[in-house]
Amino acid sequence: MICSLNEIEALARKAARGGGMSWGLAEETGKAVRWLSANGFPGPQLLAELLCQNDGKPYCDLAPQQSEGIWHARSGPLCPIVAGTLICDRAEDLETEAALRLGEVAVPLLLLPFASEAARTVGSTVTLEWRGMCFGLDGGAPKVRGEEAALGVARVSSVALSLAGAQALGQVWTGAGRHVTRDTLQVLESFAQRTYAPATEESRAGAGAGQDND
Amino acid sequence: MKLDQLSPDRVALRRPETVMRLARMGSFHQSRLSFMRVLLRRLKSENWRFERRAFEIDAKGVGYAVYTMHGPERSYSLVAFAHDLAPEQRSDRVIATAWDTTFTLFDGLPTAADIERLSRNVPLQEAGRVTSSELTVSRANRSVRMFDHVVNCLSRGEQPDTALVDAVGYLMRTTAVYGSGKLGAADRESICDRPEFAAPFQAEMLTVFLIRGFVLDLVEHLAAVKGGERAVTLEPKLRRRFGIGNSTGLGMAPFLLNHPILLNNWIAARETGLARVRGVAAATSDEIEAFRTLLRRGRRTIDEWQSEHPIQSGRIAELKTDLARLNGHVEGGALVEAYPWDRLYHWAETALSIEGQELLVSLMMEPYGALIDDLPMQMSADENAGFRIEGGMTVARLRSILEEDYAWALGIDWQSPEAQARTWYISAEKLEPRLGDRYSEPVAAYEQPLAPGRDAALLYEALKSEADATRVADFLLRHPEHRHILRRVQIAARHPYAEIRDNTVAADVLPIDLLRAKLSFFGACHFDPRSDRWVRINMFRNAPFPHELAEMEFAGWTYPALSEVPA
Repeated sequence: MICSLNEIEALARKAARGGGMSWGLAEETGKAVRWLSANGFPGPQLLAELLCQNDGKPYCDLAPQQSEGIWHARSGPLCPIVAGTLICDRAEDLETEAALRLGEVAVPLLLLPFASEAARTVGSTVTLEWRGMCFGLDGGAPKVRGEEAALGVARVSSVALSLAGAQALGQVWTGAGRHVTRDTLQVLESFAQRTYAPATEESRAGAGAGQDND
Repeated sequence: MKLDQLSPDRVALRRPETVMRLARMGSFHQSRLSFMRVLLRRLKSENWRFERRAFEIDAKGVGYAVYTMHGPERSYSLVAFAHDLAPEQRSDRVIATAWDTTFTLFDGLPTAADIERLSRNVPLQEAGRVTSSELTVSRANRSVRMFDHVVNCLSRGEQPDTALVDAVGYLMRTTAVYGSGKLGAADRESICDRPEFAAPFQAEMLTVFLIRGFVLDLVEHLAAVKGGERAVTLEPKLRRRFGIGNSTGLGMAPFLLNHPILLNNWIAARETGLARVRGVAAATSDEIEAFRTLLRRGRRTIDEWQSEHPIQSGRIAELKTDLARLNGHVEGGALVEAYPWDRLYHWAETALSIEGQELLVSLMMEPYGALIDDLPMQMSADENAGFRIEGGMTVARLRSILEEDYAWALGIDWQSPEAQARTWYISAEKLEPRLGDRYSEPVAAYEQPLAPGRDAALLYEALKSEADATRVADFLLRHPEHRHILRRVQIAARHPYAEIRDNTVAADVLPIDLLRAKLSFFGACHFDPRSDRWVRINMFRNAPFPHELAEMEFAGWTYPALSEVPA
């Protein structure tokens, strides 16, 4: 099904909340998935993969901690949304630090919108890399170099983000980002469903116009 | 008076503490800035041409029609589907599944294949899909009493009962007008660079404007089928007294809370308009005369306004007294002194009710198109622009913003049951926003983030154990639960009118205040709350029809014409 970007963002936000994220992180997820779809990447599918991986994990397991200059989660891979907000919130640090280094990360392509936003914030080109992939980000359409197989991987062992000395190199990606498969929709909707309350007679009665044949 | 003749800082904007209160926002009236009026000004000034490209409706009222407006660069077509709906299926709830009429606004001129595709989807509404060639999806139901009366009268060669027309005000009510990518339609971002969509909600307003034209044609068509030779059409003046009704419930209430920068821009435009008019050093006799005429016409609007809701009916009565007092004050020479509008506004602050003050704000802008009509172009917003959190901000700075902009929230005792009596949630049954009782219904676990005051107070509490120099980036890493409200607080610090300074989950919160504020910016009139949670309104009442734009008297079309004023 072809979805509008607004539909994709709204579904992603609700699904992320249903998957246990705080409202603020769920909002970030909505924007990130929208950005991916707008730029030709399968945002909803990546999110479905992430939510399934992280289902039931508490935030304290996912929260990034730094040791020896590398950010990693307490247990298992980093959540790319949590790590992505860390990148954005500390974008200014990119100007003084050599690189921001992440350990194991789940669905690393979900970091891309955050890295792009960080590039916009510092007004420079930023490079995001993991094994087999390199993205050049200058706030516009991302430039991609690498093997397609490495693009949508479910996890990688390390990721680096740094200011690039030169202009971004690589190809602009041209995929069908707004095409969402039935399976992906079902997964995201099942997470979104967790945010809905069972209706009560009382609330149903008061919400809007009823049989209104005046 | 022109904008460049005004001393810009003569009058300060009203403070957010004054404006951003639910009681005041729930007293807003339509104005020159309202989106319906912005739309019609553009259609008129750019000579948009109307064309009825198809009207394939049978004797039972079933079929389709295509109504097109041709602009300087592009055309837009309302594709209307009329259905034969059994009375027991007619419900105005957004959760209904069948309607008398269904609509979409097509981007351009639809082909036969487009119409065939749309005929399989638009009548299904939420159960169908449209594409990025469609800008909106909508539906409307008949006011059965009014619709049947008009068909019967016209079929006999008679005009309908004027008193009934004025009492009901419309033949059909829309029950939803979806835009911005709903059901697969075009995202707003994909069309917002077109000048005709630069102001907010223009595609939605154009949809309703064309729906109104179609509905009046439909009623005349059915009268002609029924009455044959004897049937007549509506007398044009009476015809214009039909607007399009709308029932709006809780579904729309969270909108202003979910679009803080947009809300800021709407209010900022209105407050800027008011400050500009208050900054006028002297009113010309033409301007005074224009105001006096609009005041008389405004009084007629209020005279026609009916509501049985206890709060609103009391307010309407008070408003009538206000307008009599205002009229006396103006006739007594209030406008001949220096800075007449500033004086008038100050007088109103103590002499009139809040409804009266806010109606005066709208009326004062009426004579000053040259000072006001550029403002709607600043009323759209890119919410993304405010989305990024300023991670380098210190806790000390964040605390001082909270103490300044959220003082109203920090002063509430959130432990008291009344302060958090309500919970906004989405129902699993129909996926619509609802307002539940936190203590007696099992809904608190599903709460939506629509209590910024409470959440700001929680954030402030959490900051107490943080060092002044800590960056909010570090705080958020440990406290992701505060991320949404921290973002909002930073937005509010940059946008003074972004936050409603009232408790949106209090025991006595009136969701209709949120609805009224939004709908007044649309240009709606005749707010008729049917409970604390939903409201009926009228749109485009007294407006010209699409084919009348060129020749109609125009300024202040929304106010009913006076007999002594040529209409």
